[in-house]
Amino acid sequence: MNIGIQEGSAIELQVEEPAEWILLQALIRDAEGELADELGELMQEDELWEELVVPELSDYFSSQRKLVRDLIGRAHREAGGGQGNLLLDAENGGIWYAVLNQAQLALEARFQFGPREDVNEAALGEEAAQAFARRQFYGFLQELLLQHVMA
Amino acid sequence: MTENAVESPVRDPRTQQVTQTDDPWQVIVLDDPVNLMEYVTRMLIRIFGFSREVAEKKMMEVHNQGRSVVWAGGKEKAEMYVQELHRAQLKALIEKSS
Repeated sequence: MNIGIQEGSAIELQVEEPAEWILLQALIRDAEGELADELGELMQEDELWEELVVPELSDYFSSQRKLVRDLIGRAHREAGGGQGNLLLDAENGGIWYAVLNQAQLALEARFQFGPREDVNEAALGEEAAQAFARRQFYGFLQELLLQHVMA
Repeated sequence: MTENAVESPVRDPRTQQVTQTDDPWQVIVLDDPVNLMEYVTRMLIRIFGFSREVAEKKMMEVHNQGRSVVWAGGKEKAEMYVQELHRAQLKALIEKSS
C-alpha cells in the first residue's frame, strides 16, 4: 500500500493487493468496543448518566463507524477487490480520525499495550503483535490526518 | 454532518477561569495511552475556547500528571462539557471541589 498526501484535502491510500483491503476492513472490527460504556463509568457522580447519555454516545460512535464502513466498502467495490484508492478526505476527516481512535482505544482496552513507546514488541504474542501493528498503522494515519488534512 | 476536529472555538473564553476555588464542580481530563497530544490540545481549544498556550499547558498536565482540571463551575454545565469531551473520546469526569 502506498500513501499519498493531497495537502489540505485528503490522504490517499493506494491499495495494491487484495490483502490490503482486509487490513482496511479490520479497522471497523477493531473499532467495535464498549467505549461509550467505559467513558460512562467515569461519571458516577450522575446516576442518570448511564441511562441518558451513554446510549446516545454509543449511537454517535456507531454512526461514525457506519460511515467509514460504507466508505471502505464502496472503495472496495469500485476497485473490484484489487488495486484501487481510498480517500480520507477533509469532508470526513474528523470522522475518519474518530473511528481510527475508536479502534485504538478498543485495542488498548483489549490488550492493555500502554504508551506505544513503552511497548516491547518482541514480547507480544502473535495476536497481540498483529493488533499492535494495526494500532500503529491507525495512529500513523491519524497523525497524517492531523498534519495534512485537519490542519 | 461533517465533523471537523479543528473547528473554531465555540465556547465562551471566560471558561478559562479554571482556578476559582469556590466553584463546586471541576471537570477533569484524564490521560490515556492513545489520544495524540496535538489532538487533545485542539479539542481543549474547540470545547473550552482556550488559547493554544493554555490548551497546551493543560494538555501537558494531563500527559505528565495523569489529569488536569480544565474547568470549574456549576454541575449542569460541567456535565455538558464532559459530554463533549466524551464525544471527542477523551476520558473525563466531574469531581466536587474540595
